[in-house]
Amino acid sequence: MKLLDRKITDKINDMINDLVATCSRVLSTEAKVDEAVSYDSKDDAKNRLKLVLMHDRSQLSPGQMEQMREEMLDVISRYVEIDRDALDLCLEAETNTIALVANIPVLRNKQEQKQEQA
Amino acid sequence: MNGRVIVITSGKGGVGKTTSTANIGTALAKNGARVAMIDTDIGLRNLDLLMGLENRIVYTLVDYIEEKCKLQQALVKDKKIPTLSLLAAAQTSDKTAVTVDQMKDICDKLKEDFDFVLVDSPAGIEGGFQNAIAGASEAIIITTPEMAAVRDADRIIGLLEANENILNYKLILNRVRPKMIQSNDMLSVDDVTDILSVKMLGVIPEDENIIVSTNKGDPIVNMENSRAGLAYNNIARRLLGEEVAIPDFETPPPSFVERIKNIFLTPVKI
Repeated sequence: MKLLDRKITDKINDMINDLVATCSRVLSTEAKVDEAVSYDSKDDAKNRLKLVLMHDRSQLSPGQMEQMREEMLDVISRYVEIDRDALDLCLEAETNTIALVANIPVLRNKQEQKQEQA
Repeated sequence: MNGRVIVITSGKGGVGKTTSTANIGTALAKNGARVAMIDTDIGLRNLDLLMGLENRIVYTLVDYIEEKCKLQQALVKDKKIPTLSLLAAAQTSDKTAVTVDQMKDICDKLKEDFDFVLVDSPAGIEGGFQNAIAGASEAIIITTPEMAAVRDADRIIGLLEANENILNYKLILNRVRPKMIQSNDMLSVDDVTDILSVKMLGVIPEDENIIVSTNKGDPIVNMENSRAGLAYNNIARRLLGEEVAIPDFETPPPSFVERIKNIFLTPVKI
């Protein structure tokens, strides 16, 4: 008897689940359309804020960052041949400190370059 | 007797410094503390309006500094709570009327007679702000989940950190709209904590009743059943050392469909 009861309960549960799923599909169509059009503006705010705060905290303006990038490129290219456009220079925030992170793809060593030319 | 001197500041204007000062001060006093509030926004005073005390001010902070009155005479008692007093700013002078040393002196005198001295700071980071923080050893930074307010708060945090007299500072996130957070259109409490890496003292939900309470000159903590009033009261209790959890604004309440589902899916007993 108990086994039978459980079977009936399970069936009722399945039925309700199906019903709920169908209902929520119908009810949420509108919401889904909305979602596709809009995007999360708070993520925008968060990313923009993080960037601007890093500049504020380091007291480096985007212009100064660009100048530093150019000067670093000049120094580095005296030693190695680098892809000037691929240099990625950015500020990264850790809990309480800011790190200046540069990713500089080296094409080849200047020494090799000279040997090749010779 | 050594009271706590807490400066309430924000950098950006219009985020709720004065409203917060009035409400935290009132809530602290209602919880049994002796509280003095100082309005340091000289030339643009407003704390008296929010407290509904604008008609009772005879002497101001500047009058005391110019030795026209005693400190006791310049302190205006609240209409309802006798342990709550206000030291109003002068409306006619400008910010140069007070020096850092004079502010420090006033705070030191007041903390002998009061448990809490709340200093309402003017907006900005110039002289007025420097005066406001002069006598304080703690700070409360008010911000809202808007980019400009968060950026200015970060600037203020930098200045407070550089000041060796400020031993601890915490954040109040004001005018939070839970629905906008839930739809990912507003920075959440966690987002702001994450960006500023400062401890949260409290979160105040946006509440239209704030305008009503300002109109009446009666702080919202005196209004029963108001969300913002409750949040301010919780802040006062936290300042008094009580453990009060900050309510969750991130998780949306269960939807209609989910609620129905929950009703039906609770185990059926036959």
